[in-house]
Amino acid sequence: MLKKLPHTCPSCASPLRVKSLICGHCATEVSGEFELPILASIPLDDQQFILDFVKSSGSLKLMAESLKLSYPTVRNMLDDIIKRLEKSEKLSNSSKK
Amino acid sequence: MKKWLFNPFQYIAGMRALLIGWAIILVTAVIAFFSHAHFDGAIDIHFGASSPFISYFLEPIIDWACLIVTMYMLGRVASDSSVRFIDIAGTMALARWPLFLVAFLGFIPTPVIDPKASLDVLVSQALSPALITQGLLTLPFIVWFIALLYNAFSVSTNLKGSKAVWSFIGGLIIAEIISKVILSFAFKH
Repeated sequence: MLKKLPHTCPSCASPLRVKSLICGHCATEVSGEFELPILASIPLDDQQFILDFVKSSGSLKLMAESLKLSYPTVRNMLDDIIKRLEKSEKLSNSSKK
Repeated sequence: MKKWLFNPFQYIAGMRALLIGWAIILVTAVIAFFSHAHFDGAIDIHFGASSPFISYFLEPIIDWACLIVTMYMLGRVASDSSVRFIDIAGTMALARWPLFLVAFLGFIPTPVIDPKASLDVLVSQALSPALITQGLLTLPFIVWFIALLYNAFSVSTNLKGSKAVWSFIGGLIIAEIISKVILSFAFKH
C-alpha cells in the first residue's frame, strides 16, 4: 500500500514540516526542521500530471493524446493544479510569518 | 457511457468536434427538410411548415453561430483560463447531435393548425394526441441538448459552479434573442 504523505496538521491544518530523514541504506538519521517542497503538498495525481507534463516537453497536445482526453480538458486540469499550487504557496508563506 | 452521452467533450473537442458537428448539422438539415422540422431559434424546435431546403440548412447554422459568438465572449469575460474559439465552436456544434434525433419526430403525422380557424377548432387541434405525443417526445431531447450545451461551455471555458450556470443561462437567453431577430429578418416567418 502506498502511504500518503501528510502535509497539513490534523489538529490545526497548518502546513507540516519535516523533522527527521533516514538513509534507506545505512539507517543514518538526520534531524532538524525542513520545509516540504510545494509540489509535495498537492495530491499524488496532480504530482503525476506535472511529471507527465514535463516529460512531454510541456506540450498539452501530447498530454491530451497520451491521456486520450480532449485538449481543453487537459488544459483545465493544468489550470486547476496551478490554482492548488498557488493556494499551497500562500498557505506556506502565511505559516512562515 | 454516461460521460459519452452528456459530456463527450472531455474526449472530443476542437477541430475534430467541429467537423463531426458540421456533418451532424448537414445530415439533420436533410432529415428536417423531409420531416418539416424547424430549428427557428438557438434552442427552438417547431414542426409543420414546409420551406425551401436552404432555410433548413441556414436555421441551424445561424443558431449555432449566435451561440458560439455569445458563449465565447461570455467565456472570455468570466473565465480565468484561456478560452479557445475553436473549442467553443467545435463542442457547441457536436452538442447539436440530439437534434438529429428530434428531426425524425417531424414524421409523426399531426393535424395542420389553421390560424384562421375558430377558437374551438384551434383548441381541439392543439390538444390532439399526436401533437401532445410529439411535444412530450421532443422535451427530453431538448433537455439533453441543453445539458450538452452547458457541458460544452463548461469544458471549453473551465467554468464551474454558479459562475458557469449563470453565465450559461445569460448566454442562452442572449443567443436565443439574437438568433430570433436574425432569422425573422432572413426568412420573414
